[in-house]
Amino acid sequence: MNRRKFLHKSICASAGVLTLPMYSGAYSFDYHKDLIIGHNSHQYKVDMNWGKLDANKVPVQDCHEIIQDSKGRIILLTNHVKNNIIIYDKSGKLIETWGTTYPGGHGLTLSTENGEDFLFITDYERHQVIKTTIDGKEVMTIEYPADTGKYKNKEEFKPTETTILENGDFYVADGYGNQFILHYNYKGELLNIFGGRGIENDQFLNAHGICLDARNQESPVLLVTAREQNQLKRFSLDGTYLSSIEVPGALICRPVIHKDEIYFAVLKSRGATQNNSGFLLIMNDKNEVISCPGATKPLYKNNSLAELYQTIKLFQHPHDVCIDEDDNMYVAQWNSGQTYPIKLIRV
Amino acid sequence: MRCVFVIAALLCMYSCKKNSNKSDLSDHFVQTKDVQLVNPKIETKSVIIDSSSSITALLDLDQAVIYYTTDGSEPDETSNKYTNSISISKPGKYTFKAFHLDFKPSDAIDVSFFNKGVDVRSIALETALNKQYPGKGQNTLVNGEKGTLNFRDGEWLGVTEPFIAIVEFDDVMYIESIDIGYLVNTDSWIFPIQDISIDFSEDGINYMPIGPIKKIEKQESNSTKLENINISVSKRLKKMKIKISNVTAIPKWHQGKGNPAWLFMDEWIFNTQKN
Repeated sequence: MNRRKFLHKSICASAGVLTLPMYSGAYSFDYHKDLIIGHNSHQYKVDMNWGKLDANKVPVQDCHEIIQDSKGRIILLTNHVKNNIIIYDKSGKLIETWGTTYPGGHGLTLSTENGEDFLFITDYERHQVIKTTIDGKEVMTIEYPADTGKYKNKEEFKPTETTILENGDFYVADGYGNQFILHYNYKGELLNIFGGRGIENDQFLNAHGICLDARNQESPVLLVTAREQNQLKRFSLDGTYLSSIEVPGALICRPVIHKDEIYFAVLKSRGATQNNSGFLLIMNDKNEVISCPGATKPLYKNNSLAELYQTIKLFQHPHDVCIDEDDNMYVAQWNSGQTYPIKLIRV
Repeated sequence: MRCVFVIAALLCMYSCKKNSNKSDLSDHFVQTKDVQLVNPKIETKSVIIDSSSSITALLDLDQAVIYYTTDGSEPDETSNKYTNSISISKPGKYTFKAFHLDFKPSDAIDVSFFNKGVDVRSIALETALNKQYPGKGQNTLVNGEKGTLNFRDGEWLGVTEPFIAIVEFDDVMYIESIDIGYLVNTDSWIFPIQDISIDFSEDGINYMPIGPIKKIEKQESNSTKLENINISVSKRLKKMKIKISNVTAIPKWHQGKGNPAWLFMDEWIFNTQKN
């Protein structure tokens, strides 16, 4: 210890003793311990105030989904029709808002085409999928697939998510509707329909989220969450069922791939007695659960994962996550008292 | 010297404050001490004790410790420390709560155990079962099986209008009390019982009311819990006619205000002095 440090310490110590009775409130050494959530390689500090805005000016209802655009901005979709789209910078500063016509705005996916960003919004109240420019101009609308004979009327079509391939093809998950996965080409022409409601391997109860998994570029697959079944299902691009990954206890929303991992918001713990029992879940490149921020540590016994459940009252109903280039995470929540997104800082 | 000391003290105050400011920089991160544990997860073999049962409490978080009481009081860190599954041989109420050095303690959660009641010869329903939640049919309420917090577990009868049934015993017998188990899950519009009326008959033909029955408190906020009401009977009887009414208008604080609520019951337990 050098002389300066020694002097500083000893003076502080003696003054601390002498002044303690009078100044104990002002100079007490507060007990600070930043909460760290998550397990193994994926642990985070929590900034609840990151996306907080003036609710009178920029209100939110459910914060359904959150993504990052090519410019690095963080884009939130809420079903509040004063401002369906809220755009932040990474520090949480509001950049702009737009959108007043998405009362059931639920799914939000980025599509970058020849360097230009577009958004795919699913709206379960409009019973449509809408493609917009990044500043909100609608360029394509997908109606319910009447010609397939799988739908009696548009009300049966309640799309929750989309995922887009490099060639412009896209898939729609009808997670609140008839549980089909619909495959379209870039023009919006229907190429294929598969899935549907049921408990068979290739069917779904709440096909809530979908994403393209191109981590293995040789053989890209589709990942679809069957939320009520606590399963992530893998399909080939032509709609053939491949396998299921069990996540006992976790109502996983949509898969989000970042680097080699898959991230999920978990809406609720299946067996929870408390309301607001959500958490987050991260799988590694082998699709094994490695971290559950806000919940039990993932443990495998004989290759099967023990039931996961929330352990601390931090998240309410996480509904989507977005991971930026610094590996920090942004969490949007459904039905959580009109709260704004939370930022998690990787530690 | 005094002057030197005052300067040193001021310097220290400045310097200490500066350090504390530095830690304030991290104040935008959630602090562990401000976060509450989730209540322990409770698993039981059966809450109706035929011969014996057991209870397990879990909160799989490093350094979390669970304490419990058996007298209905709220556990603290001087209560019984939970270590292993507890075996249960007599009725009672077990209350659990989790503690941790860094986090706020959890809420308390309790579970009640009941003796198996006397067997019922028959139960005749005067109202139809609801098609959506018929439980296990006519005998759901007297099959010796309690439900869980999952209202779809098949042990729950769900109704949206008054439920009336006549229960008959093998012989005339002394019934001391009846336990009526019900569920509260306000998120799913399942509310407590609104009214209960019970008539008894010793000859199996003529009925008399058993007397005043205490009212169940109205539900004032969101909750999910297993509930039970014990109603004193203290009569010799052969038959009982039991009418249980659901909440006819959900209170104003709830999104379903004005609508009828669901009433979910899992079991009626008829206690004699011996059971």
